[in-house]
Amino acid sequence: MSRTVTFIDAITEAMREEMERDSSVFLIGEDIGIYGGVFKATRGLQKQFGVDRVIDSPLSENVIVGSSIGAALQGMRPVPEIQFSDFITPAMDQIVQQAAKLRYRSGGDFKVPITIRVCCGGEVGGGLYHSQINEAWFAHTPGLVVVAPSTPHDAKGLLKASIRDDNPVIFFEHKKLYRSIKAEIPDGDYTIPLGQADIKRPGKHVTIIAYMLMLHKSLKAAEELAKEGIECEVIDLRTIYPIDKQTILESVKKTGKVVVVVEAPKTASMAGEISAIISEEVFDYLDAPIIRVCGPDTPPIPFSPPMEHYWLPSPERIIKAVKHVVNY
Amino acid sequence: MAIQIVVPQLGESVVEGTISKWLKKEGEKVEKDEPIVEIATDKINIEIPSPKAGTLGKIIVKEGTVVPVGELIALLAEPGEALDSIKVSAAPAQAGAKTGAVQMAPSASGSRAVATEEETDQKRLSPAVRRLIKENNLDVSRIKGTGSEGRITRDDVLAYIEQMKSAPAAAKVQPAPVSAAPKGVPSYTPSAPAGPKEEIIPMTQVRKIISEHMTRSAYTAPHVTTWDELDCTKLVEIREKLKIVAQEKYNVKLTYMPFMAKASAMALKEYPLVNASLEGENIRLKRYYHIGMAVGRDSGLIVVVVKDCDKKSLLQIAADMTQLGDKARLDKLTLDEIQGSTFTLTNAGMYGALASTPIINYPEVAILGIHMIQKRPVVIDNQIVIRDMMTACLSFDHRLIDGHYAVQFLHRIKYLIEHPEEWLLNAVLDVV
Amino acid sequence: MPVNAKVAPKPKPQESMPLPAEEAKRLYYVLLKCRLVDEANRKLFRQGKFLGTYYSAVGQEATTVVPTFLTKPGDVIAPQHREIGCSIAKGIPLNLMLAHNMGRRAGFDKGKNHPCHYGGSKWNIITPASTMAAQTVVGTGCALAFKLQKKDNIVIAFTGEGGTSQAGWHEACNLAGVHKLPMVFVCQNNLWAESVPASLQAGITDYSERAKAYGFPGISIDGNDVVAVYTTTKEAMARARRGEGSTLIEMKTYRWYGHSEIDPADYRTKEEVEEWKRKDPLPRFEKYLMEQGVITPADKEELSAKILKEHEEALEWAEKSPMPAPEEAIEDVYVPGTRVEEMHREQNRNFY
Repeated sequence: MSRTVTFIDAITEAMREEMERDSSVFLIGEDIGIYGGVFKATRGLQKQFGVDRVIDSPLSENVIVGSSIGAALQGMRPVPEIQFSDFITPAMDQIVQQAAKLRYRSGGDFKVPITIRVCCGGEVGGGLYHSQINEAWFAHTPGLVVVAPSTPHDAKGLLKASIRDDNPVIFFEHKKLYRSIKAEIPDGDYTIPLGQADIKRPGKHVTIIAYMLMLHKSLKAAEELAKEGIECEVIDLRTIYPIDKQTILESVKKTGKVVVVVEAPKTASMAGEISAIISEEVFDYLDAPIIRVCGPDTPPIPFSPPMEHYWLPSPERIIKAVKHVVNY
Repeated sequence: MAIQIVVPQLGESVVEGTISKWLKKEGEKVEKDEPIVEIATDKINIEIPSPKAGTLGKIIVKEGTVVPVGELIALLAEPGEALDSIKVSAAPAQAGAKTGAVQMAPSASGSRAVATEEETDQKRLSPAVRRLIKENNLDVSRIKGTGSEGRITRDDVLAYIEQMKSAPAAAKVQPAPVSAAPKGVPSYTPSAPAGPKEEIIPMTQVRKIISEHMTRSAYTAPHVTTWDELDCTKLVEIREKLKIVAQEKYNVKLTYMPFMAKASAMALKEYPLVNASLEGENIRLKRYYHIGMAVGRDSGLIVVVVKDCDKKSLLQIAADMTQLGDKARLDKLTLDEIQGSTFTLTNAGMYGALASTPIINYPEVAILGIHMIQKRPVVIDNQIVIRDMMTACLSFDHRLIDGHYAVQFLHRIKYLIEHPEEWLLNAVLDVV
Repeated sequence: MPVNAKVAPKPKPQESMPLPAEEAKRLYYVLLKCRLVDEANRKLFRQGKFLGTYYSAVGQEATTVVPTFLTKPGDVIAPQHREIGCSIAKGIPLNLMLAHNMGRRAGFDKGKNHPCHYGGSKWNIITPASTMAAQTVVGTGCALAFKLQKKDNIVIAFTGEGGTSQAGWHEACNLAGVHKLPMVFVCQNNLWAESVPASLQAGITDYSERAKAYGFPGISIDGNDVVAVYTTTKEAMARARRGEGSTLIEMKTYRWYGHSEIDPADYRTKEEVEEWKRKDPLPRFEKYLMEQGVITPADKEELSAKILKEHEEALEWAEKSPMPAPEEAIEDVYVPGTRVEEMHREQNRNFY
């Protein structure tokens, strides 16, 4: 049996089910309790689980994450929320110097099973401080797991898996997808393995690698390209770190052509890392250079609509990149 | 300061050569311009002269190694320079030999490879394409490129492989009728083997080259051979008289070949496609008429080129041919003498062949096979007469030349050979 | 001024009015303008004329207008997102503010930042980010510079009670305490950090108590009492200019509407909202001024009409002003004329 839910419903369900299943799971964040979250991701949860397990935190990301780390050390499974990825910076020391390194610096003694839910992403007219993602910062921090689902089905399964995982997970939720994507998900408990990508659309001519909003842009592009006989294989990365190399490499061996689409300023984005992996490991299968479709190197994302539109990778830009490699 | 000896540019499309023979030993004195090493390419064996006087200090590349153009192969010590001070510094060009498709890199000595069509293509061979070519042992020059600017794409290679695989449909085979068992046949007892039943002999460089060349031509151009019978009676008569003059007055041996070359040049002017070559989807028309002539040697076939046959006299062509033939047999040909032909003649008749289906000299589009002139009975005016007849076989590239065009071209040559009086006046002594 | 005074002194009749009549009238004009413009803007947002969102400060005008009104040229304002009062008081033209909210090129940020993030070096308002209390930290730097440059300018750093939970705020206060920085820390305690009540924000109710921890005085006042805000802030600024260091002023106030215009704010009770609307700073000050004979109802009408006309004209202008060109997205990352900017421009000329 299955039913249709929005992306955000899937997130809420995952939290609810995990809290029902495991009493050590609790939530902490700004506006998550009484308000149910600024996007309503935690709606109804404080009512169901009480103020002790759904905590309205003072306005301090530093303490939201830091306190979660401490609770995790004491055997709990906190799921702190960062309301906007743009505001994750006050918590950077806790994430990077504490959560990511406690295990390593204690020689494997401590573990930090926290899942930091981070609301991120643009194309909502959010300007410079309601549009950021910043996943590359965390993919570059060994000790962390970085997850970024694109569909309701994946969101639920991956959030559950993240909460159950003993490693600290940064779990990105793209705000544009919250209510714009609806899909069928199965009833009952299910998880999706961390570190496993998913081929959302098989094809034989070009491999497109993307995640979150960019996955949907890529699928749109693929649909258009299929009308011209160009079959794109669209890979949804799902986990940013560790990357599912196998799926990517197998696809590249098949197609020989790659376009990577990332919603981030191009320089030092994940697109570069993915390109490097491909070039290093399946160089002999490449029939064209790897193209990265990203935003320009400016703070993401300028507010005014013409500039936001100019900035964000679109299906048209993805199509242009695909055609470039196809006609190379 | 040691002088670097590098592999020079050995021909437009040549990218590598093999060190055939070191003509000097390490420590031996060398004069300026004195040959120090012999390098073989797929066209020619060439001697490299020393740029300066000195002593051959260090031989870096051994005989038999394939080296790319520009590669450092030896160091020459100048007079007064100590030999043991000669060191091979970290060579700017890649050390070590390479086989197969070579990436061109300019060497520090400045002997820079001129970017040619072939080299550009090689630069644009993507990793996937190179892998497939290597794995399947393909000749990249046979694969058509459909990518941007004629790039050979991975799909092009895959399509080519598919095409190579598809065997002609097997005909329905009728089960052979079984014949009755043989009776009373004395049995054959093999005697003890005298030596090994099989022996492996490596191909010579020249054989390898010819093999590659023939393969490339045969598999690129769809060959069709059309032939005609030329009545050479008049030609024979004229040549018998002229050869005496040529020999006694000019010390030049006059065979039938100059006549064929001359007739070919004239016919080529009227049928320009036969003088052309194909480049991708373009036809390169040539307005010069360099006739190649196949020369047999013990070491193998080579084609020498007589330039501007339309402008040269019969005598001059004959003189050129003699000289080139000699040089061919002595392996003293220069690059210029074996390059640039637009049409080729091959004479299998000198070995006694009546007809043949010659293979075109790539990248030309036609080749004319000349054969034995033989007295044969033919019908003229309803009478059987004896004439000196010769079968001429024209192989042509059917991508460019269609049957009727080829036949007409050959027919024109036939006409010219059968009516030498119409053109000999212009062709005897001076420029036409 | 005694530390931790909970209530401001009651205003005395005109002879001892803390501010001269002319100044009071001007102050009233700015407060009225702030109110009327804010309410008019809310309507514009609901009409879809603004992009993004809108942060209304209706109800807490006194906390931002009055301190800004008291600044002198060269003083720096370090605001957040609800400090429209600072911009009005600094005289930022309305058409620029509206253009900014509409994402037009003429806006202070050329359409790049988030709406309601008014500011600019021309007015000495540090263009804010959306991060809480961040500008407070930056403000300490400005104050440090003033000390080093031996200027008698000051910095007013604004935040809500929520912002005081950020580590940065404490670090800023700490630095200010160590170096006796010429700052006024204004904490607008409007009892709600979006949906989080002050009871969950801090273990204390009077945020002025924190000042002791940093070594400078703190005072909690009625943020809706214009005169109280005036006298307290004036004194704090004088202290700072005299080199005596920082002051923390907690101004108790309330925002009438949601955190943003898309927040229905139903985490608050109707009763609470009504109670605070009764403490509206504007009529209180109006009444006071009218009692003092400084303004008349006719003045109010005249000023209101003038303000609304200005707003209308500003709207007309802003609506006609052009959007930025898409390629402008790449500008203003680096300083023009530097090699870095050249390289950046070159490298971002084309991208897939």
